Amino acid sequence: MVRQPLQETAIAITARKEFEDLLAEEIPHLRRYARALTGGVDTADDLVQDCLERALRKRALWRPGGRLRSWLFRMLYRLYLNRRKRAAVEQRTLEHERGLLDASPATDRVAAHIEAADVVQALTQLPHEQRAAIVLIALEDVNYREAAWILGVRVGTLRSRLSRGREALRRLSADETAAPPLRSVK
Amino acid sequence: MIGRGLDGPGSHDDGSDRITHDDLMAYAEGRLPPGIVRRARVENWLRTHPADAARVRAYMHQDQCIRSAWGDVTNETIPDRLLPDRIRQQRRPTARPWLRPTAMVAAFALAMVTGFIAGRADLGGATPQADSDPRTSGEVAAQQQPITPAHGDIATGAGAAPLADGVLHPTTGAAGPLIPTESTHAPELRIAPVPEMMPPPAPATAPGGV
Repeated sequence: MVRQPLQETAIAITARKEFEDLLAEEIPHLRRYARALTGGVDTADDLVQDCLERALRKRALWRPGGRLRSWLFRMLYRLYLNRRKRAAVEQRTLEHERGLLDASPATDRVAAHIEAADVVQALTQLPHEQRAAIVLIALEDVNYREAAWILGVRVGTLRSRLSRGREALRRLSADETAAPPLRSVK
Repeated sequence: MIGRGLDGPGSHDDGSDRITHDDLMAYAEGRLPPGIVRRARVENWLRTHPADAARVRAYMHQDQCIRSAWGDVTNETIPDRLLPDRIRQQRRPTARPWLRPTAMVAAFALAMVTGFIAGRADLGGATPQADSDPRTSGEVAAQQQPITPAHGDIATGAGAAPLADGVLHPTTGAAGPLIPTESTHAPELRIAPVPEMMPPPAPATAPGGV
């Protein structure tokens, strides 16, 4: 009974270390998706931090056969949804402000491609579920099944979010190229 | 224009000539690898349907924009606070405060059980109601009137006092006035329950007492 623990902890430490290394590899992707979801650098990193904490806590639930990135993305997306829910009202205003504040770094980076700024701006006006789907598909190399699992919906739902979102985006960014660019807040 | 996937998303087999909106998306997202029949059909379709061709271009453009806006986030330096090592270390101190209330609850429950058993043991030792009730209430009345209705619990709380130590002081604080009122019984009350806090004494005394 008592002889095992020492050995076990050694194994446990290696396992944990391995897991943490794998986790570290995914951080850039998590940050990117979180950034695209929230639009803000700090908000995104807060989300990623929550996600990593949770992943470390729930490590036992991850089966090494599965794709760690999908597992993490699913977790991240849920945390994102929770946050939205928790701060539903206040979030709305925050997001508007955030959209404005973060427009600066984002537009800086995108400055070379003015159209990109349009699409990014239009994205913020989409329903968040549609935005999450489009951005996930555009940024990550995932198939629809994985993406649907990450977002916690069925493949059919994912498809319809994508197509509705893309159409809306098309209309919005077309509008915005036509209209003066300063119509961000309403 | 386009057949809007009446046959359900992606449910067509390659035999059907119908081009769905899903096909257009798949094509725009690069999900139709070259050489596949469906891809050739979509390309054919687009040649003769400029509106859909524009749509596909728009979708491709959306993805390009998204990638150019956030693509290089993956190359940014990861802030320290996101490193797993760091997170694990930060987690530890937060784990304890979380445990503390649990420990308090556990200690409190233990104290209650102990006190309860002690109370019963006490009852079993002497006459059922006559012993603890009138005596303690009398003493409580002498010391402090407002607590009278709760005196039964308070007596048991006093029994748990040595066990609970620092943690339970709020509870024993309520019981405080009783502790000094030793009389002949109180010392037994305080010491007795500690060793026998668990089941053993209860079945032994309870049947006789109650």
